[in-house]
Amino acid sequence: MRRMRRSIVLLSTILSLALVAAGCGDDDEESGGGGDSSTLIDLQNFGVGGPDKIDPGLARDVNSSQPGYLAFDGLMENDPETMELKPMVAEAAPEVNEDNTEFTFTLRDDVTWHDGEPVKPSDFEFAWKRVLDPEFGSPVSYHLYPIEGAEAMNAGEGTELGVVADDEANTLTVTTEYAYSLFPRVTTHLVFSPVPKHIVEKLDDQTTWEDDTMVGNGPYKFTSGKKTTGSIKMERYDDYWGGLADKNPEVKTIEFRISEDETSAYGVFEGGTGHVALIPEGRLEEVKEEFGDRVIDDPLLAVNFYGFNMKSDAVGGEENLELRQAIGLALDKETAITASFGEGARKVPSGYVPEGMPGYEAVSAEFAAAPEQNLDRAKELMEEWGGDPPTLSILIPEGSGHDTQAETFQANLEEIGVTVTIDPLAPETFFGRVGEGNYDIFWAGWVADFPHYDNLLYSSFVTDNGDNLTGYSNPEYDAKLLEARSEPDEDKAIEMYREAEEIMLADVPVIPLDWGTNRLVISDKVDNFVVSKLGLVAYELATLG
Amino acid sequence: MVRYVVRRVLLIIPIVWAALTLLFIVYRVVPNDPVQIYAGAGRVVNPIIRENVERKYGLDKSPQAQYWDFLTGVNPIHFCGDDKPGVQPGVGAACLRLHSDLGESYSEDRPVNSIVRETLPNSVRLATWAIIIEVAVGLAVGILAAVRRYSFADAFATVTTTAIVALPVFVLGVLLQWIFGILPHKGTLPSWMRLEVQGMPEDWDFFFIPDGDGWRFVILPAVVLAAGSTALLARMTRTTMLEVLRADFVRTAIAKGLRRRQVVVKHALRNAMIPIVTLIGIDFATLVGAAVITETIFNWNGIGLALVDGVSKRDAPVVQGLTIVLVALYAFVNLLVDISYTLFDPRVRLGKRSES
Repeated sequence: MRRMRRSIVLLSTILSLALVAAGCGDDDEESGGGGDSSTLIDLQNFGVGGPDKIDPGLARDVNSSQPGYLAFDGLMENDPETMELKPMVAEAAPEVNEDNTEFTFTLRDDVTWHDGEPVKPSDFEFAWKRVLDPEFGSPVSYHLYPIEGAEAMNAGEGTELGVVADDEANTLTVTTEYAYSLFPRVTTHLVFSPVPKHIVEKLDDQTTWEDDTMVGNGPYKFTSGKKTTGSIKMERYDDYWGGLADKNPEVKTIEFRISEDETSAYGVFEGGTGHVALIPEGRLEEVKEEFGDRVIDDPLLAVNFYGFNMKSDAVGGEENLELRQAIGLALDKETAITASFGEGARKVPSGYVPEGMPGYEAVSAEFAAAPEQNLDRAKELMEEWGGDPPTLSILIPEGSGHDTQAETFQANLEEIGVTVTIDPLAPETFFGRVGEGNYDIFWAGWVADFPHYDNLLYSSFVTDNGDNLTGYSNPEYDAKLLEARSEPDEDKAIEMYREAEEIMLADVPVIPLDWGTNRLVISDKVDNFVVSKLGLVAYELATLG
Repeated sequence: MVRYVVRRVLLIIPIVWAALTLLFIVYRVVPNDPVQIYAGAGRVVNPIIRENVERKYGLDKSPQAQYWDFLTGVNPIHFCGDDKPGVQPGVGAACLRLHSDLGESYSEDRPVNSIVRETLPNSVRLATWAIIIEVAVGLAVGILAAVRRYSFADAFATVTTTAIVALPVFVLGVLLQWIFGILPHKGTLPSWMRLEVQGMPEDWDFFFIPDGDGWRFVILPAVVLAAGSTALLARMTRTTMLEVLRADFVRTAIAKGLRRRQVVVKHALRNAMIPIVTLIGIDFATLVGAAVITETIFNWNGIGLALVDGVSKRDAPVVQGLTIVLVALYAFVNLLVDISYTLFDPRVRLGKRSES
């Protein structure tokens, strides 16, 4: 009896000791790293889920695009710190014809693919045709539609593209369907990246290129494909020509760790592994206390807003302008931000296009983007409007603080006699409902694809355009934008865009609710960590040590 | 016995088919727009792009056509002449090959087969380690509690097991992460206690043994995964053992003068094994698939994690494909458990046979 009991106790003790002892071992790195000391471990980019697609022709969101931006350089690039437009693989800004429809880029002759082959104009032509191939099924091909013949090609109806690649002269000439002065800026988007024609044209299935290591021309090259366990690894390309900073990156390897849950990812960061992480929702204060000045809180070129159904009798058109103005003035945006996202978590907008956009200047937007709630004036406007107290529905996506925000606004609007019902929808039903016109007000957001006014103002507000969810239509606005697109002088063009923005905001088809911010926490082992206003990290500038 | 086994294997087919069909219906009936999910990223999908994407995934075909395509793809039995690109030719006279095409993920743009190949081994490894912990600790505690009934050890075991079963998995997981991952880093606890908060070992030897430092990734998730089951197994073992220890043949064995350990292990435990083995067997299959929360907290690239990912991304092929794998696995493991009964109890004969 005693023997058996003893042996069981012994067994359990041994087992527990074994578990604990396994925890011992070579634990040399006390803090930071967690791997080779020249590896930067990123826990934030894929902190809430792995990438969908990282192929430059398929990546559709900022996080999936991040590795691609490091591995591929395009014709032009946005300076990560200033957002200034600078030539990259093109040796200088392109030559543009008089009516802004023809752009000729001369390429540098020292840019190579990661396998050593030179980057040629035909690589760009091949890449763009690949994106436009209907079989490829790219979700981001629409960025190329301004190029002559592109839309037809993507619909399977055309085979000619307005691109001439001259490998001998090392030039690339692009013809656009209409005046498009911002084309050079647009080429900074990842979808315009070149791909190594000599490798990619031999693939059986274009869409699986990303599963193995893709060959690019940027400062970092892939050392793992997307078919990985838990991370995407990149390594410095030692024969890089220098890029915008005119020097090779210092950090040798980058490891993008994939995590499904931002709280656990942050736990890893707290545990000493990893150099940058997301700040879990609602824990900003705690993180600021612990990490102080290592919290990055930078503006992001993103705007969230409520849109009105401009085609409905209840809220749309000229006759309901005062109603929309009243609603704009009644919303207490600051309180809503504090309630749903935390104090100071987002900025209260003073217009539609966010601060930080190159060429930004404040616009006047008395009603849509009033700096503060003004209930008295709102009530006056309701009187002027003269209609019966309305009941309106607001469509919001489920979760993520939208409901709390909507509830704050619901209370605000009660005070001016507007009754609001909140209608949370799952993402896949959301756009269907909006498309049907079956709503009064909806929530939406827009993150800039590239830092230019046009990206925020054109497709969302020009009459009958695909992204025009409100159904807003103002010929004066449309004309102003077309004028801006034909204006060769960038400063003059931006002024026109601002004028258009004011025209639009005066009609109040939307009420901007908040401007996005980029929030990250970095470890003390990382220096010169630059996050651009598009939410991309310029790892080629970072240092470890 | 062979007939019994064959019958059971064939039974797996209608089970899988039923699960499959149910899922298919759910994903087609419930409002679902995979194109918006795949291509949308918060914006309206351009009509040209919508057409291209629908064609790419066969979503432009009728639901019946899609269903038929899916069934024929999943069908694992291929004969020579049934050539598909990428399918290896059959072997042997019957020219029979087993290969199932589980479809292609919308969000990840790769075959579900490849997701299974990547994630299933990891789930099996984690489940195996959890089972080892479960059996070692659970059996030991259960036997101890039974043999020392009403002693302090027994009471302690009862209270502890109840508490662990009541504690939600994610609370236990996050708590252990904090104790073994964060506190040692901060210096509150000694650094030799430090375990990895997330992730998996770089490499495995002999499939199950983590390479080098890899132990530090395995311990916490295995313990968390095993926790609830260990507690249940301990309780179950205790109860079953108590029953068996009261039996006549045990009293006889003791009266015969056999040593206590011999009685407990060789006679009592062996008879108690059937319910215990059932629990362990079902547990194994469950742990492989249901380790969802554990895999999410610890970022363990297993099938549970992939399933959660698929569900949250409304990725129908992934959910359908992974569910088929889990259903088949579960049915298969159950069969193995039933077969194992013959090892423990010579009285058990599988399959009906009329005794005259």
